[in-house]
Amino acid sequence: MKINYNGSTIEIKDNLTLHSFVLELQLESRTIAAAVNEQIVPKKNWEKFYLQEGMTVDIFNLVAGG
Amino acid sequence: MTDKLTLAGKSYDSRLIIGTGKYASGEILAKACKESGAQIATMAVKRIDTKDHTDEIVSPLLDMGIQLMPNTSGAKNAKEAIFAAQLAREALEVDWIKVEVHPDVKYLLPDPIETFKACEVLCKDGFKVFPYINADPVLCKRLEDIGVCAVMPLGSPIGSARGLDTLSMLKIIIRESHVPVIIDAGIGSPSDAVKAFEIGADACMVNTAIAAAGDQLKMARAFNLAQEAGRMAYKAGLADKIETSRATSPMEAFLKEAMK
Amino acid sequence: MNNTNRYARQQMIPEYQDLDKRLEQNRIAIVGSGGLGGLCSYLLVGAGALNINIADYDTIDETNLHRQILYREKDIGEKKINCCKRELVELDKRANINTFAEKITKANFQKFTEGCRLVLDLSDNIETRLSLNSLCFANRIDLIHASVTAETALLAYFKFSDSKFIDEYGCYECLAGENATTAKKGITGPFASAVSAFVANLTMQVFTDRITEKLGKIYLFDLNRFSIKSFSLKKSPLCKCCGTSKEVS
Repeated sequence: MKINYNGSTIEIKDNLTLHSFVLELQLESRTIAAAVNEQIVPKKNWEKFYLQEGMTVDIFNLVAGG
Repeated sequence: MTDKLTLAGKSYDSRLIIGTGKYASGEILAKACKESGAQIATMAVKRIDTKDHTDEIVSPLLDMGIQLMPNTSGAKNAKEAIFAAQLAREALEVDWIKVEVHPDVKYLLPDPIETFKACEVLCKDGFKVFPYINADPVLCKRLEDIGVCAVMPLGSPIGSARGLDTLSMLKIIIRESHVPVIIDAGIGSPSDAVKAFEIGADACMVNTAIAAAGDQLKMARAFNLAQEAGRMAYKAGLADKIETSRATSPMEAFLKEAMK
Repeated sequence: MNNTNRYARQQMIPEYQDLDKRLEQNRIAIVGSGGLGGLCSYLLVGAGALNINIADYDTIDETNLHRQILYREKDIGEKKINCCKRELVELDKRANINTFAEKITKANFQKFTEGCRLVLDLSDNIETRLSLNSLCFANRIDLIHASVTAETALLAYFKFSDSKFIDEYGCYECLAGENATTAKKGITGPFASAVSAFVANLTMQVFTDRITEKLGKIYLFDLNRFSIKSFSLKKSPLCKCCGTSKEVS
């Protein structure tokens, strides 16, 4: 199925959780945050959050500088 | 015949008590206190610099002759509240204590059991005890039995400014209480304070509504007027609210008949 | 010099007519007087926020100068917080600044936030940020989180004093997770300064109605593409910090 990921349309397999999606992208979950359809998905919810057709997924780095 | 507020054997003209949290400086607090007309103020023991009597909060209030009512906010149980009370008595040489025990971080609702336990010990130890509690008429009576100076039931959760959510319970408490009733927490506007007095409260405590107001001094003054208006209305005897309509003059009754 | 003219341009904005008075009545606690905290506190004092508690345990070194614009060559080796106060008071002699040359922890948090309704987290590491989130939540003090690197910045206002806000939007740990880590990245002067200004602006808006549309949102700045995206915050009931049936020690 197709989703929008960080501005681009991509094809992903069905029944993928956000957690698995992040693993497939080889991103380190501790260093990032994620939003779907412009709403933050809390870290603790990633393993239960199933991606659906047409969702807009934004993944961004946590930053700490000040 | 004067209508003074009597607490722990002392008389006060003002029925407003102010909380001192969240003011940017002792100077602003003192000004707001003055505008409000309050003669009693409460402050968290944990925030008082107990070693230094020139503390930012306490000094200006003492200079104004304000009665201090330290509170045990921050205490998670009776033991901590009792300790805070003893600390306050020693540091400030004041035996008034508002027992405030709210381990619940989200709503800051008071724990009735820990509060009761603390009050039992403190009353026996000669403190003038003012418990902060939910609007529970039975709890108020039990506290009265152990010798508290007043009861302080909440109108709604601290800082929520939701006014008198607990109105029906407050009315019962006021009706049944033999000690003064000070409505505390949730008073978000002068109209809430007026309402508190209209239903017969002896006093009313306000913190956030003034400290977080756009113009703190004006709001303090508004509360000053509110406590006056509310109490005056109560003493004047409000006309009963009735369920069905009632003509206030013969003309109205005539019109009503004509419109049928 | 007539002080009331100082805010004239700011007062021309309808929603900001009384802003300087409101700011003067409040005390703000700022953690960090470096890349974000320095310029941010300076702009806030300029806007009328004269009462500030500010904490930073760092000493000024040469690598700070390109982005920590309150400091000069002559300040190298000095404690940041002292030089910061000096600059703020020079801008407005009425400024009432309390300095804390120490790390803010549970032990000194009460003292640090005495009289404050708002904390600005402008610190420089994730551990401090998670800790401040926890402390502010536990004490029901509102928090503005702002963090920046050369590419992106994050900005959010957490209204912890409002239990309805907490129920719906949660806290910083909900989105970052309790094991959050970040890599140390580069940063430029212009980016640090740009974000400082946005933080100061958001802080000012907290005291006006303009904050309403920003409640419950986190802003992601793409500093290279000049774009800002907003996401709605969401509370996690399992969050170790603000989750349900959790007592914070």
